[in-house]
Amino acid sequence: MPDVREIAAAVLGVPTSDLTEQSAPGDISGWDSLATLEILTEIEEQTGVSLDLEEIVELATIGDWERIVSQKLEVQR
Amino acid sequence: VATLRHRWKTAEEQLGADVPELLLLATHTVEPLVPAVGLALITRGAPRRVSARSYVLAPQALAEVARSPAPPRDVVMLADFEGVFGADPGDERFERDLAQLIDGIRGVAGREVQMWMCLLPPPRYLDAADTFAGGRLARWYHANSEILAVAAASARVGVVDLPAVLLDHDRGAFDDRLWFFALQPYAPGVLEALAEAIARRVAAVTHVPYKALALDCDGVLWGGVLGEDGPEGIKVGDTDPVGRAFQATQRALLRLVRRGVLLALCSKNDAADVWAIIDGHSGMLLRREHFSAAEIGWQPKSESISAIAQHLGILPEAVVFLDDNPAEVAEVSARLPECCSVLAPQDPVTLARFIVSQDWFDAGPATREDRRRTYMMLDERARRERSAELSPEDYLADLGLHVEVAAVDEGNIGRVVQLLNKTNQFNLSVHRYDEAALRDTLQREGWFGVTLTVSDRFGDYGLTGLAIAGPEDRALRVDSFLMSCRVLGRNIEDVLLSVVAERAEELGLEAIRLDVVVTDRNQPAHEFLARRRWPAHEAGVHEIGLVGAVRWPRHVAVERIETAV
Repeated sequence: MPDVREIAAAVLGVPTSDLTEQSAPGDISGWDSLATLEILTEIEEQTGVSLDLEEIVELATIGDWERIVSQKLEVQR
Repeated sequence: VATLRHRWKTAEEQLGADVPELLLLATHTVEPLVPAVGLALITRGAPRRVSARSYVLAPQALAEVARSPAPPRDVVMLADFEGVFGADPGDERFERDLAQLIDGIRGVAGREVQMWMCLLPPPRYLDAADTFAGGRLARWYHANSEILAVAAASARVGVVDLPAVLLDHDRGAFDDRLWFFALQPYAPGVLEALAEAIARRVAAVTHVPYKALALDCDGVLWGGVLGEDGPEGIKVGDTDPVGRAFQATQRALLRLVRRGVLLALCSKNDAADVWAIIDGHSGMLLRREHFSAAEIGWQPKSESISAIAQHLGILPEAVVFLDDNPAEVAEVSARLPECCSVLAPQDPVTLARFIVSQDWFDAGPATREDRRRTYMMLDERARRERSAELSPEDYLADLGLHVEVAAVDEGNIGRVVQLLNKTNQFNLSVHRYDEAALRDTLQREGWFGVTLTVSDRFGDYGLTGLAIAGPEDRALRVDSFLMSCRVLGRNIEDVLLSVVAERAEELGLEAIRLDVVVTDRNQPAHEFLARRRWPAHEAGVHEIGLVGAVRWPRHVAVERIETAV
């Protein structure tokens, strides 16, 4: 399965090791709303999951992203 | 669709006797829409009996409804662009058909009928050229704005926004989540397609287009294998599904010819068999006159492409070669790597769209000269044959050359700018101009541009001579003096210089000062000065007297066109 953290790191242009479960837009320079948009688009494209607007709005940390994506993938199976 | 049809059949039987009728009219097949419309109307509490007529001519069908003693309550008209205007309408046809369609809509609304007109979907196989003047894009929008205007003027005419339905189909194009989240309206996939469309248009302006398209026949121009299936087995034309796909392909190719792309045949076949199809098959849109060159035989295709390029007077690197046989494409790629060899899709359904999606011939707006290029090549072939029979002097006299002298004006400024920027050989100063800079120059006190439009008894060469000049002290400064290489060797340059000298005299000036630049390509322009014994082997300004400048060639008829300034 494509890794959420790797996708986010690639979009943000930082090493994957820089991102932790607690990483959030305020902590990483360059993580603005357009970067969030790009992370979302990449994740949806690579994993085939689709997030609702309310789910997108709730996302804060990398951990949130990972949880919602694995939940969605679980449901798909 | 089967279950929908079944459900509609049951529902229709239960409709009361007083349920009003809705008639679907379409320029294409519309029956598959009937069950869905019928059921959707029941769901929405407005049941109708639904009838349908496919393949109608829109104005006639609407007029029939308007005349009917018992017209339906509602009429829905679906038309595609081609169904109303044909594939490539000229101005006249477009205006006439649009007026008839609008009259038809008004006629129906004049009865106690609610008329629903679906806005037209975009024309099929739009390409870059359709965005220019006279292209189908403006016609499509114009037609739809006329439909909206007639609807705005009558309560009995409503519109259905069919193009928006196509765009919004399956919510595929828009992503409302991204809109609410980030005010970004389009789905990611659409963004890529949109970026491609924008980039292609922007890049077209400076793109160096290929000049010719060499085409295989079997599997590219028509379905079937001529050598095996015979002429009866060839599929092209509107009576056969596969034939329709190849006809659509030919229509796309025909649009390229009109834009000035040279088509050539490059086929391993018996030449007589191929020409018999091209001249005689009723489904062919491309005919002999659309091909500027042909190499049909059993030699390797790389040799054919070289021969085609030589015949057209271009380099193989200006040729696109399209073939559906990977072996042929590989052979040409290996032996003629400079030629653009392209494997055509194997599925004919995708062929027309494949061709219009390529940027091979992308360029700025086509000028009249571009559009006539194919026919000019044929004229040139006839001239070459004639010149072989006569002495050079007799040949020139025999051509019946005719030159129109006119000012630079709104009608020709596009071509003038093109000529200024493309002419390398017979161009004394090689001053390049964009349109704005040219307009600035021509607005200077006393400055003018003079154009020559040349023809002979074999055909038109188009606008092929240009001088830009203005007064400087007691002389006429000639900033640009150039001729298209199409008309070299016909002494037309003497006409241009004579016209310039005449203008200098009218302005009370005493001499002509020619701006001369030496490049590695403008030797023909220097040879002209040398022929007239004006030494000009260096760059700078060369002054010549008026008397020596005037020399009207006897074999050229000169006509002055007065243009209102």
